[in-house]
Amino acid sequence: MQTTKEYFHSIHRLGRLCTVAALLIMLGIPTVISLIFGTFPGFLKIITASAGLLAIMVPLAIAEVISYTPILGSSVYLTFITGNILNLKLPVVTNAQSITNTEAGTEEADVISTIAVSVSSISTIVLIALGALLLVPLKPVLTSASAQTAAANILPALFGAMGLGLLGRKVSGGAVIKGRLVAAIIPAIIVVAVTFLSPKIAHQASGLLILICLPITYFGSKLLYKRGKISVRLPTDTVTIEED
Amino acid sequence: MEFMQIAESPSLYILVGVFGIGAVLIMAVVFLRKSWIRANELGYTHDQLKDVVKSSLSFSLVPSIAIVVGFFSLAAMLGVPWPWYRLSVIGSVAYEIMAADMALSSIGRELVNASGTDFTLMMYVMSVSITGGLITILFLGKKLQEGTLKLKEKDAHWGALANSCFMLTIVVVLVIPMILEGGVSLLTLLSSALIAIILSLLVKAGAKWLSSFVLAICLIGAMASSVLWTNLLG
Repeated sequence: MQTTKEYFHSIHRLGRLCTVAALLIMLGIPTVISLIFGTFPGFLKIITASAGLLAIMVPLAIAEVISYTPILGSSVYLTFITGNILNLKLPVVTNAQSITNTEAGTEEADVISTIAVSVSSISTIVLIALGALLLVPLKPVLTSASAQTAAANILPALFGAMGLGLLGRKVSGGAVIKGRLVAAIIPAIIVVAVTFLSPKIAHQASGLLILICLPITYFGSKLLYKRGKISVRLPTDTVTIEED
Repeated sequence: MEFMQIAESPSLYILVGVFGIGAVLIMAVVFLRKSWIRANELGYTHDQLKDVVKSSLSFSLVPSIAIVVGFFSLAAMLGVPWPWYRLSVIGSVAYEIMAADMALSSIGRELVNASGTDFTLMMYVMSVSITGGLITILFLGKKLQEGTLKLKEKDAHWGALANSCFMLTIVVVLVIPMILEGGVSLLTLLSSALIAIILSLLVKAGAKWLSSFVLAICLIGAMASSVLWTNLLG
């Protein structure tokens, strides 16, 4: 049996290899098409046309990697390769960690998350392939106003149920944390202010907002924990913390 | 060469199906196999892992159908193979539409008069602009993950609290705008929470089999409720 270190070393190597392969394929497909049809647009045009989008997407991508990796663990590679992170992979991982009672940041949670992300990625790939095959018969149903409305409201539908569990005192892994929401007060005020100023920015720049709020929650929690304002009880602890 | 001639060409179907989606499918299977073996080594039983698979599968179905809804809208604009690849692999509907639009507007074109070269340009722009996340993982993925593990080893209590900060921040940033926006968004959020409370009471009352499907049922119920709220609020 591999040691934890050896396992992580091999899964990171696999992750990096797959990431490089995904990047090569992603850029390889337009290149092969350009060669077949003689339609290469030229490097300058590609750079000029990408510049605006890169300026938006690069900071968002960095924010996402920093915010999501501690939750996703080494499943982050497959998660980013297959996309749909916020609306699919992150809830799938949180759900899997919750039903196995494992805590993010442990080898157990890491392994369970990778199983969950792999299963989720395979099911999405199969469903979209079915969608492509059944494009004609399915189109009237899935392009109906009701289907569009339901699809547009996927995030509130997800976070209503998830939020309850995630804001509670009990976190995955069985730890009970008292007073942790206090550390989220300043980030909450920032988000309220940004939403009042521009709801559009609050929606579209949520990745950047997470990056701004994360250090505040993190270091705020650390300060409050050191001062005894936040108490943590692990399943292995014998001392119980005072209930409200 | 016309835009749709390339967008619907057999060459693109083959490249996307075999090299694009096929490769990612193999990657997912390899990751699944590796983590499954490791889970067995760590002492997880077959039944425990089957529960994870069942729950992940049932939960993934509804969001995946929502992605198929987006795929149909995108396929009408960009043909079938390219959106099929993009949505199976890395993209999201909102990003793809924005990227296609920005690529064409940068050269002063619209979709109706776009050429084959414009389609290739769009493919490049969509691909190049989304590589940031993958490149960042290459450099930071291992460091960030190891840092999280070390946090737990140093002080398990602080480690548990520190790890909970990430999801707490994500919920605060995403949920507050939904609440303040009100209307259908807020009502859908509340419906989902209400269904979750009812289901967790049922689980506590003895319906243990439900626990793996709570999130999936909440998602279906709340998305269906959003149609009702939209009709009621106009």
